[in-house]
Amino acid sequence: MKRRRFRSLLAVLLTALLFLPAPGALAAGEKSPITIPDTGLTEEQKIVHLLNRLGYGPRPSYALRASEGRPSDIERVKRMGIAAYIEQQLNPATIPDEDVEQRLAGFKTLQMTPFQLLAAYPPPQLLRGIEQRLAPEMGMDPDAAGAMFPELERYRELQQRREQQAGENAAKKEDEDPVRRELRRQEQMTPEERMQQAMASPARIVLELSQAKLLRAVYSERQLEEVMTDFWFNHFNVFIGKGADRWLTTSYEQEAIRPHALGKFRDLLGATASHPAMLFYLDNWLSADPKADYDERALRQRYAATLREQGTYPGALLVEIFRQRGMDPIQAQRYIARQLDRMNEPPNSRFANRRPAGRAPDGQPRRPAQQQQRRGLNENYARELLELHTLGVDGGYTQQDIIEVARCFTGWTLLPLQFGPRFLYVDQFHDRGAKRVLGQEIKNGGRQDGERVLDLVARHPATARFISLKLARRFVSDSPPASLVDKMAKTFRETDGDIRAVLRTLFSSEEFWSPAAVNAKVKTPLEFVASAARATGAEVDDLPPGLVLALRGLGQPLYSAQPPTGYKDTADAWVSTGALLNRMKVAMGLAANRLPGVRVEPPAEALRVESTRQLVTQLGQQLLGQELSESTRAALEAELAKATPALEAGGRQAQARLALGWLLASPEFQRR
Amino acid sequence: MRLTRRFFLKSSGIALVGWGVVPRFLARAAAATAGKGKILVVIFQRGAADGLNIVVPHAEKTYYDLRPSIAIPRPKSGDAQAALDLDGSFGFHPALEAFKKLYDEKLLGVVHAAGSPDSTRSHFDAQDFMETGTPGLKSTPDGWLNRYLLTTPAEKPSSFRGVSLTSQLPRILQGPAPALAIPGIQQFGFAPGPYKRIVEGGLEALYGSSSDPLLAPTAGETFEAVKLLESVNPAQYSPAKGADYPPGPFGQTMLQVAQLIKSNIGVEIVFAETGGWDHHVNEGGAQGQLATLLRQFSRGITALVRDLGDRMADVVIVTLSEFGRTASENGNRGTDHGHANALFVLGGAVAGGQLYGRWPGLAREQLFEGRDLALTTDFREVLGEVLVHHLGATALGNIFPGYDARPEKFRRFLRA
Repeated sequence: MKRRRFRSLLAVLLTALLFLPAPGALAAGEKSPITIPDTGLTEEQKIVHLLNRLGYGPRPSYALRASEGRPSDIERVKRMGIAAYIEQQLNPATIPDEDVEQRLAGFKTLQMTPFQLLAAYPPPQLLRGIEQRLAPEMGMDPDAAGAMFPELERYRELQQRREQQAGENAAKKEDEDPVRRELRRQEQMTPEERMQQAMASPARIVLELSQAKLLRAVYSERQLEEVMTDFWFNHFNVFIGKGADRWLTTSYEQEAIRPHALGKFRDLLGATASHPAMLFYLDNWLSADPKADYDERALRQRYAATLREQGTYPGALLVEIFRQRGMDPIQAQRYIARQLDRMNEPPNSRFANRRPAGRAPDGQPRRPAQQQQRRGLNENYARELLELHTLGVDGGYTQQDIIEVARCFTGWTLLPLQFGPRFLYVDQFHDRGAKRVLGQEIKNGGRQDGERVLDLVARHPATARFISLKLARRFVSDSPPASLVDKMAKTFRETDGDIRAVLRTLFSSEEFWSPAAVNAKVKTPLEFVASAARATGAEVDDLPPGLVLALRGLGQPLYSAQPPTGYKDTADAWVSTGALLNRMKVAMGLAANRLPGVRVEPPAEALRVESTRQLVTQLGQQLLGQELSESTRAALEAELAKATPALEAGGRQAQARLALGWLLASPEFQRR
Repeated sequence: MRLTRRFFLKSSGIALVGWGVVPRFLARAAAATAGKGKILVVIFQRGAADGLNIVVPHAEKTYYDLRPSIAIPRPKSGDAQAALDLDGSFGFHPALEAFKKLYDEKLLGVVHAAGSPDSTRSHFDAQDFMETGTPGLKSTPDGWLNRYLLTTPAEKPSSFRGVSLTSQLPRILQGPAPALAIPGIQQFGFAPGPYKRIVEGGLEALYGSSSDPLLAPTAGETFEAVKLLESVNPAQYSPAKGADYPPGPFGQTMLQVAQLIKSNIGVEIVFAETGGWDHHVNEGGAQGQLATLLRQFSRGITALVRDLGDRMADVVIVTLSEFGRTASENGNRGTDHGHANALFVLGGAVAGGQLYGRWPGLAREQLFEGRDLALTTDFREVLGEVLVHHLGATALGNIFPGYDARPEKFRRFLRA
């Protein structure tokens, strides 16, 4: 699927806009608070370094189709002035970004709330529950139910066959085994069929979110905002593969992370602490005072009341699922009445009562397996809040602090998934006692206890240091100088956690612009793939998501870092035998147009050169934004010469692609 | 119902050992035989395999009360649906015919009621805990197999010392020590074709002329690893006689494990996985979903054992699954997430033909949280024994931090 773009007029307009001072940015002549120190780098070297750090790498002129009058990124920054460019990037709302917005327009899941996502792409367990228990209860014809949920068609088929086989003789050829048939069918699906199957399932949510992130990294003009969104998501990591988080992560990034990525740290912290994705991921939704005396029935009534306040009702999700699949809403409403009755029944741990067959040894009917125990205190979020989100592991908190923080956050929970998950504060779960966190006393204030903790930790000096260290690691080097971290921490404290201000300190520092910092970082797989697409002017379709799939092979499947520490941002995590081999393969594949959904064309100027030396020099300059080292240039030239006989038929094109692949795989391109 | 094998100490020297550190004299004695060309293969059944239907406690009446429709019938000669008796109390699921042969040949043992002590029933968390080797701790960044590689020096350095036959490196092998994910031996290097040599040549030249202190040496290892694997000539591999790999991806994976080991490129740790064990609905009894998987599983592993032949003296295979399943069946003729499980240990060094561990029983008060098989052997005891006595590891306290893996807790399924 390709996107159409209205090129010429829009391009001219955009180019013009990029030079106009926009509201909120500096007026012409106004001095930026950022000063760029002189550290011996040339202006061009500074610009390349900046674009590699503040964004996903410079785009050369051919990547921007210079024939239409768009200057290269390097040119543009030169004309604006470095400080002015940085200042503009710090205010992304002032930067028009139509290209990316057009590209993302077709990704409908990006616009959907968790409720809508659950209704459109329900989890298989929910569907099974509906088909096997709800539908019969509602008096639905099993075939009609099956038709409504085609995903379950196969399951029913298998079920029927198995019942058939149960009575037959055991001796059976493997080929007739329905499970093996299904396995084989899956194996024989073409990639297109597989993609289609994925797009009709919850997998689509992950696919679209991942592809959107990649498209933004490659095409957005708001490069710093993208880098900071990625930084903060990783800092406040959630794992999209964990249960309900699959339907919550889209909203998490859009509502909790991106809006605050360049704002105030306390706002960002508060948004992540109360978002359902985080509450679920780090289990705080389960946390309750072990002494709390609450009634499951009262709890359910509380859920129902909350839903009514918000203009909805229990069972709305199910009705919506049925409505989307063509069922008469009146029929679905019949279920609502039953659901409301269920609110007043004794608690059951699952979607509906599931009684195991037969009788217990004492002759009584069996009780359903209790999946959830009585709630108790869950320290998971408290620990990670202190260790990973704010103070850092050496920040000076104790195990007792963790427990006290956990006590403060009891009651910060969720409306259950089947009602459309939302933050909900339940006072019955809350620990009413006084708490003592980091030496401060916190008298019971219900929900405010959690907010007080967030205030405390956001303003703690250890937090200023820890956040500054992580930022310096991302933007400068794996072991940033203490002098820089100190400066940034000071700004953090003095501005009460103003992220923009801290970044200004960073971008004005000698340490950032020091020659020692240039190319000091090894690119993560995302940075590698995005910078490769930018540097080659690759055309990335919205589907199939070739680069997203490549990222899985490179060890960074987006949004899928399982532990709360997120993806590592230091070289040791990404440089290994296997990892390097995979990068080289992706580089060659990209240059040879073997990645589905991505197209690279060697630049026209490169194809017109006279000699291999000129080809290598020009491509090297364009791709890396700087001149190749003599040894690299010589090595490439020699290898191209060796290759030329075999490439004869392909001519300059083939040569150029080969050289492009090698350059993308080169050690120079792995660094930023 | 009790299993045999309560362990007891053989030498008083072991009684002095605490905190998982093996004293020098014992370590040297162990190292004399352990560690020389020894290999550990870990096979993970993802999804929580149903241990109670795999190694069936057929002498327990409760088992049949709890599973009216999916229980495996008591052993009965001539009945192909019945359990294959092992020792009068336990039997294999009938689909494990291939394993039964290995059991009779004393190459295969079972540790029942084993697993992770953490009570989570979340697949992700439990797999995480089992792979990081720190149940209950979610922030451990590396896997225990990686910690083994890090703390125990290799006899001969090799890029293939720690290998996983998966598309990505699993948690169990993640960490600072180098380990390779090989989705398929044939696809490891660059795609075959007319330009393969040219492409590789260019890359080698590029990295060879680079002075990058980190990337250049790593790349050097990369090219060597690719060449080494190619020299093994995977396309020409033919399994040993009697090695009957079942068709399908698991059989293919087992075949590649054999290839890697037999090619003598320095493989010491191999990881493989198989999925689909999460049978909440229609698990089936002697026939059905579980049976089909078990047939593939046992045939694949048995083929590997046969293919390795004499080499099995140096190889130990251990199977793991994140937890077991509920003692009783649920309302969908399946089972839900449980606790303890049955795991298999195979190898020439294993005193097979026996069940190890302590059977806790299936009466309601004996079940964990009133619903699952209770745990009597921590998986770290099983792996600890293999790491120490087979591979010669000495830093068990570092491999399983926070766990008191003292040798006296080992189940002693390895021949002394």
